[in-house]
Amino acid sequence: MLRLRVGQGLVSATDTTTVIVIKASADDVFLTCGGVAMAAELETAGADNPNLAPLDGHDHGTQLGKRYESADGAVELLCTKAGAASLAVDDIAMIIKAVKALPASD
Amino acid sequence: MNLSLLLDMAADGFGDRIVLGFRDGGTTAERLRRRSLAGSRILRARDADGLIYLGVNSPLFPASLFAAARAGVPLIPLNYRLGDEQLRQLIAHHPNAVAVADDEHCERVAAGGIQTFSMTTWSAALDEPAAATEAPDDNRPAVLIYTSGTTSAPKGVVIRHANLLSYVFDTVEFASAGPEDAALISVPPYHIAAVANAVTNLYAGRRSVILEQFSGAQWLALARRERITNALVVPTMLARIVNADDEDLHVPTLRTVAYGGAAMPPQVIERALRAWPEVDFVNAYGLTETSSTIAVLSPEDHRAATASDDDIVRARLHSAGHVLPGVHLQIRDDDGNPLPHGRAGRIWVRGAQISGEYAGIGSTLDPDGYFDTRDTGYLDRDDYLFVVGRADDTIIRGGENIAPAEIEAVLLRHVAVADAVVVGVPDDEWGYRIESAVVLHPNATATPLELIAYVRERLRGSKTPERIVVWDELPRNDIGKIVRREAQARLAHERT
Repeated sequence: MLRLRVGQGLVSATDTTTVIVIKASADDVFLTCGGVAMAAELETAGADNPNLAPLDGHDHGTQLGKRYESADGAVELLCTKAGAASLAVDDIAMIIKAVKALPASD
Repeated sequence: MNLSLLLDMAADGFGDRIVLGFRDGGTTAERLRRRSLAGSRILRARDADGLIYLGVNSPLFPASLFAAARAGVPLIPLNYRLGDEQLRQLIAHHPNAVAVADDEHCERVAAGGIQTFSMTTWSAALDEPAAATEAPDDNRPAVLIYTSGTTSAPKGVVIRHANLLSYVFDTVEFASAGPEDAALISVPPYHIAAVANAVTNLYAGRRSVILEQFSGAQWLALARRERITNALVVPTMLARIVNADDEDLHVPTLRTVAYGGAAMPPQVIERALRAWPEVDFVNAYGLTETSSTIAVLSPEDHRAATASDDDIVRARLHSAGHVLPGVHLQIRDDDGNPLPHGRAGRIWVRGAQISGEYAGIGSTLDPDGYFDTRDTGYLDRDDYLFVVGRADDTIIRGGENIAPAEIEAVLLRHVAVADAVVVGVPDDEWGYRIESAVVLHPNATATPLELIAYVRERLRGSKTPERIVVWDELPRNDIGKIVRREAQARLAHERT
């Protein structure tokens, strides 16, 4: 279980995926990538087994720059490096969030 | 968080796309990453604690911004138009910085004992190979921008990595720009909009074309040649573009024009809307301390306001629109109590992009995280924000608080008036008395007495200037903000 905070970077233990937390839940969450818990540091994430691969059903891939939302909308992540595994909260797959475009102001 | 993340994502996601410069020979995202690495290696090797940038905006500006970010030191863009003494004072705050400067300004920085690269040698140095390095992740200052000081001495605004990243993540979708999209950047590098432009366009995957020195004719020529789709201008630039009678204003690729940085004269935006009916206009309101834009008036809002018969909706053409999703806004009275819709007061804002931090002072946020913009404004019934003026500009005449912007708006509605400023001039009886200077349109005539009568008809007597003079031009800085101190000094001086 992990207490997320906005702006925090997380790495996957099973693939190359990295994310940044855009929206955090007030509670601890069970956040996985490839079915294995994500962690704040690469060393922690891959410490147990550097050759972990995504589990079946957790291997649909992540896309660079996409936002992923938990089923209840409480957690939102931004994918900063893509990979072959997929993200889940409490074993429920996170889904790509449809974005509402803002007018370009810069 | 570190801004380098944006550049790494861009290089990973669309590394061979040209993100900077001309269609032919521009810089790709991957090359920009390599150049930022080379720059950060130099800054680390010299143990620099900042990177001063003194020159016109150029493709070296984003490269310098990201080099500084990766080295974990702030970019400090300084205004090359400052006098030697002012510049010396600012540089003295950064004895351990490295500087890059345009050729003609190198001597001015080096005189302060700072290691200085000319833009030419800096550019060559950025082409040296450098190994990939991790960027510090501890939310350091990313940029230090000195305020223009139109009302007080310059202050260094500290903008941290998390401020800028929040702004980008809340407002821009990664790689959302099409391959043909191109933004024309004409703001100077020491303005927060130049920083915001550099990061948002890169993250969107939109090519940035930089106009180093602005003129209306050059802006139009470059926009056509580089097939510009998006542009950001300050009001004085838009005025110069649309008021150039002899210019062909046709830019076939132009889709969006954002404007901000200073109050937009109604006549200018109305003229621009007529000149480019097919273009989407966006009014962006923000401050240096808020990491650029905090409220936008959208293209749909512009069209609705123009088409409406309802005065309240029509008025929104001159509003700042709605606050961004990540920003909370309160209008408060002078005692800090929230005010209801329709009541004007001080604009306070809260959000992850809001810095509110000054070098040598620290954070100025209140205990609830709100920042006092020192702008005055109000919200209409549907939460459209109207910015009335700067609290610091308020004239206290005989105990009455008078906002010069209200009087200026009336003067600007007079058919002969092209520009107007209203200031308080010290007065033995009233504390301050109201005086004004105006610029007339070419070939237009209006006597001061006529103008005074015109204001008195529309505002009450206590808000009518005692004296109005006609000048050839108003003192404005290069962003287009009126330098009120100068106007006030000149008015007081001319009287005696």
